[in-house]
Amino acid sequence: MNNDLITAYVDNEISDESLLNRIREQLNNDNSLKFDYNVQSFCKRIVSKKVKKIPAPEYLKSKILSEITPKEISSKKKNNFLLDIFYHPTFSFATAIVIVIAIVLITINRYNFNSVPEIDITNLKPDNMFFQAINNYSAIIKGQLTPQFISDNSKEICNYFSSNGVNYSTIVPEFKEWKLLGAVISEDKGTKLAHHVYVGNNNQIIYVFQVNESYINHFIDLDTELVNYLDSGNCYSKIYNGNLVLFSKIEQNICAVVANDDFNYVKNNFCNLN
Amino acid sequence: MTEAEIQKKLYEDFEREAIPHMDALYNFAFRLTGDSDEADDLVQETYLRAFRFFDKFEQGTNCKAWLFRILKNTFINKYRKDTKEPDKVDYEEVDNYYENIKPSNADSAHLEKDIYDNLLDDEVSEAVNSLPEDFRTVIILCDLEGYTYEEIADFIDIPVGTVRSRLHRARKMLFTRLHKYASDKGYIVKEQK
Repeated sequence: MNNDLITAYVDNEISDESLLNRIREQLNNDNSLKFDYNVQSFCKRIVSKKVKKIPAPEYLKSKILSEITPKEISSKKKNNFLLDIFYHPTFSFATAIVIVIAIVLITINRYNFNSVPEIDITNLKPDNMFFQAINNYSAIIKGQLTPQFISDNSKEICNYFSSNGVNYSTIVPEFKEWKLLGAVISEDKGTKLAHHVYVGNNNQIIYVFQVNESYINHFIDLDTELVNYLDSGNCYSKIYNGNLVLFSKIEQNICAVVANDDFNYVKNNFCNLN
Repeated sequence: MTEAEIQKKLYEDFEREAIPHMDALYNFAFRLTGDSDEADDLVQETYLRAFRFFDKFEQGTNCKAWLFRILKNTFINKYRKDTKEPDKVDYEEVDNYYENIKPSNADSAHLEKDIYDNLLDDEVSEAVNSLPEDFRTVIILCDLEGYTYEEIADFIDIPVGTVRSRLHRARKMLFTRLHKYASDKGYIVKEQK
């Protein structure tokens, strides 16, 4: 008997009943064949149990989807997703927001603007810029949020923002180590907000969400202590889920940056732009 | 249909048909290249090529097999070109070792247990990764991904009979490597060698 047949037998690739019976019979009488059978089935088992499957990293999925997305594709699915993420009924949170603002106003007089504010991420609301930044980043990494506009040119991205309803001046710096990937415009309380994404040489993803400071706590929320801290010329950073979350005031905009690149490099880039 | 609408439909079809296979392709690419950066590049190149020619892809046929073929060809053309030819195997040596183990291990249950219980996942992965490319390929596709001989034949463009014989040899080769490794580490007692 051809020894390869024992491999096909182990893999359930033989359907001919008479051949199957012949193999079974021979397995009972032939120790050498039995050994081959054991080796073949053992190897099959050990590979399936001990060798791990490695799934494609999320950044790769996201990068590939971005590369193939036609420019300015406006698929319904993406719009719905953005609406899901960015649009929330105001009234359901109104009371909570009033309470938060009241507490912030009470404590603000005692607050030293240069001490690093404590942000309790677990209690952030969906209308909060911090909350949206970390959620959007997670969606980008999972490949669920892809750029609406693909470009590696900062001017084109700024033009895209201004010609599509973003009514404040945007800053899209270019960096040596990162390439611009594209942009997204979200809508919150009827106002368009600007987001853009970079990709690093090793596929690091750097996401920037920028809002004019006058919009804060009108169209989108952000901890007042944090805003004051940024107003004093500080840069705020926190590690969350292994990524760096950074807030910085660049010209008149409050920028939230979330990145999985070298933390110091990200800080150097975004904390020294003014 | 306008050009933009055609592009949009093409993108949506591709996203539905091709993107769900990315994990399987990545795993295969990683095992082929043995390096995550190269696997990233290989999968990216594969998908970009596939998208470029997606209008030629016959809808309803096996998209996964089509992607695997592109990946394998990309690997052969680009990543293997400058490095090396497919590994040459001294199969005679493998056979000799195998035949030497055989007589004393007609009942190999204890031997398998010694190897299975003692070897770490990483050590088994390393043994698989050390197999020559053609043999590694069939082991990954069959034993790790669970594809049938016919699917594998379709993916890598070889006859079904070749899949079977390659798999037979690949497992023998893997077994001798695991056995040698386990012996060196002292997991198998000398008399069993």
